[in-house]
Amino acid sequence: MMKKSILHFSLCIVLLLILCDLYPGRKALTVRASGDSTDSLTDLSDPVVDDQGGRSYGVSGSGYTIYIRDGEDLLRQEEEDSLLTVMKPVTQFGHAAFITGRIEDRDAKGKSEKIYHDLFAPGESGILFMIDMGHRELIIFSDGDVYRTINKQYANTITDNVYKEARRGDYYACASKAFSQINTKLRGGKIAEPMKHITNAMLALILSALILYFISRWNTSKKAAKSEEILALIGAVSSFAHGKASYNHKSRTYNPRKSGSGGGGGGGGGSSGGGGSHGF
Amino acid sequence: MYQCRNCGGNLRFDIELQRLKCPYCLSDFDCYEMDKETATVRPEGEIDDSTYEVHIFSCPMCGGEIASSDQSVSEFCSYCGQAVVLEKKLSRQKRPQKIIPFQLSEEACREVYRKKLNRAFFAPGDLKDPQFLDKFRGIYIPYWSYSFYHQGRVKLIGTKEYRSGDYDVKEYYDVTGDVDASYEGIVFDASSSFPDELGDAIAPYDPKGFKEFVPSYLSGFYGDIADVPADIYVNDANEIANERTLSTIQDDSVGRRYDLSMTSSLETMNQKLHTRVGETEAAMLPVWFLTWRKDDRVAYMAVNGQNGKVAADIPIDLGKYILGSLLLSVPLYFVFNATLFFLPSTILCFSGFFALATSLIYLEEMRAIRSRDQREMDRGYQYYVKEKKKKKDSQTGEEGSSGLEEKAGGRKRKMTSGQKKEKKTLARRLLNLFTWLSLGYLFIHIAAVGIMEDVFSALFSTRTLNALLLSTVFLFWQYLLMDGTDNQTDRKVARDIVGSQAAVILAAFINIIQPVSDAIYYGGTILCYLGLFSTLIRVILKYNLLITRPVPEFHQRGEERS
Repeated sequence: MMKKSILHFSLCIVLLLILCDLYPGRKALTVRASGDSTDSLTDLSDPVVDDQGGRSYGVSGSGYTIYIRDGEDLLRQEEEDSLLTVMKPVTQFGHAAFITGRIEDRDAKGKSEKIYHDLFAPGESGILFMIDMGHRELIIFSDGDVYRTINKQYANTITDNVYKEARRGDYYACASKAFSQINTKLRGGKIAEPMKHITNAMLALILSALILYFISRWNTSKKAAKSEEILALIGAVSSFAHGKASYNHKSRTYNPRKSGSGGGGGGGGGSSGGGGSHGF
Repeated sequence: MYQCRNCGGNLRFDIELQRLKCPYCLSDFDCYEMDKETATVRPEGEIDDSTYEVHIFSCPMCGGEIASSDQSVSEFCSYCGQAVVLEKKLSRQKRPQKIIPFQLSEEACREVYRKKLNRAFFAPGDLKDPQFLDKFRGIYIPYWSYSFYHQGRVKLIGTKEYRSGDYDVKEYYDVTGDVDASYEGIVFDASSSFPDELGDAIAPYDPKGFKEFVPSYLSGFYGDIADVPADIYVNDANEIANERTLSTIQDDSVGRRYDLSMTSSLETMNQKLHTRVGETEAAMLPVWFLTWRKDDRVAYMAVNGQNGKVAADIPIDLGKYILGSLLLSVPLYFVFNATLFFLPSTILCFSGFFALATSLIYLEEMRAIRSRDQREMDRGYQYYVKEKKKKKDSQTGEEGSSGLEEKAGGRKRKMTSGQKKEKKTLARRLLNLFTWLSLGYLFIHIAAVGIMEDVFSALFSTRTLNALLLSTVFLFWQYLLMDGTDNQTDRKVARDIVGSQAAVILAAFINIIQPVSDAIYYGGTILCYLGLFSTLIRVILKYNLLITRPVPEFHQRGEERS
């Protein structure tokens, strides 16, 4: 009877979890401008070119910006124009930036954060996709509302999904696929993570087998009765009376304390943004 | 055998009445009265207070023996679980002084056992089969009951430690006082066939239930035979008594100010505490015993016949276990999907560590199986084995010619082992080289990253961790090939863990090389998990070996007695 109940309960939990997993998941971010989300680029302002050669396009209605700077000249002009079409839907949730360049700094990820904050104010919603030819690395950095959806986990997933295109030199396909997946995720959709599912399934199977192994071993372990238990039951009687202690001698060992250094200062504040990267 | 005064039927000890009862006319009789009556009808000269007459039933398969005052034929052996007609002979056994009669009925015993099994989800169905439970047999297990007394003025050394400036100071005090302690009825089992771990697990027995032994208590039950001398456990019992007295002194208002736990030998402690060893008595204690047999393994279930404490070897049904694992893996999978995200390199690193952990679990399991099969912790059994070996050695000494033959065989074997040793040395050299290479890489990597970046990055980088993993695996294999280990066991162990060990090496190599392609990491992870699975399956398959015991072999025991 009890076993049946446990079985039913387990099945209910499993069903519930399956339903949870099928549910679209995190609610899509609120779209700031519900206007035109088609391929039309009519609502883009004329580009403003900065001193580094980057072009910013204001998107009317949403107030966000598309920024493209192909410092390494990896994309042709028509590819850049085409990329604008893919990037534009992202601007309903925040800024969208695409940069190619060569970062000399060892900390390319930190540098990408700095680049983003040079373009947009800290905390402002948006996403930067960067191809760093110096370290041959793809970097996604997001901030603000967009970071709530494209967090480090998804940034890593997306760079994992697009590094193959970068590897074979098809940088347009790489950037286009990355922004397309960013857009899908921001709209509450799912992006493919087949290997994650396979490895998680295998890990779950291994862990469950191990957990049950230890439970079975624990369940069948035989604990010997403690000596206190035995003595309590046999009614052991023991008493100690007229106790007295007298000093006998003492020993001294020289053992100086090691001098320690002072404590360190406190850490700095954290940033709300973050992202992921992948070499290619 | 005790016969009913009214109808002549065979009397049996009734647990509820605690008297002998006739199953035919339902009359009941006092155990002592019936024993006296039977004693008086014996011909003069046969009355011997130090022994009593019983039927010894011996198993033709394993040589296990149990005694009973009944003549009824027993159809299975309690120790090897074999369904055979036991051979019967009349014998006189040493009479124990005390007995705790069964207090727990067979029905109540089945009930507590069922409760225990309710928690064992993967137990084979036949362990719960009512027909199987009918095989519970009431056996009186022989025990030695020890008594100790501590009386007189004691003087112990107490210490107090503290720091003064740059010095560690230890002060010594003489703690004196009058101690008065008595411990009567510390019991240890006196049968080599009854495993100590079972006896320890169903303990303790309440000595208030002790009665003077009369054979009539055995009616309807069986009795195991004492074959372990009293001196085997006397020190264990002595230590229990000493520890208790010492803790009484330590808890006293004077004692608690000092540390009295200075280690001293049992003899010194006995002198300090004025230990007096009381009379060691033979006692019979009640155990409901059940044996489950599968192929050449047996599982024992024992229930304390006085208080119902259960100890059982519970094997698993592989089918149920796999089903349970699959069921549990489903929620785990969804939880992982919802909460975990790792980079491919991190997943690979984890899988390497898991594979290493699985190898260690396997090795620990093998050690535990070996220890259990050889009953390393069973003092009574070890005594019995030692005695058997002594006897065998003395016989071998007499047979000179067979000794010469053995010598010749030994030389032949030596040559084979020499060749094996050569192979082993080569493998060890290679492993040595790999170990040094991986350790060398580890140090160079730490130094290089430490100088170029910082020490933290150097110590906790993926490459450092994986180089450590690699070194561990190579060191581990060197340990397996160490001299003095059993060749056959080595080979078996090596074969069983080769999958998971290869998985660790693969994971470590990939993570050290750090290829760009995710496919290599994921492919490596999947291969790693498959290697891990190959060892994990062996861990699970061997679980039943760990839980059960080899079929016992007591033939020597029977021969010695005869």
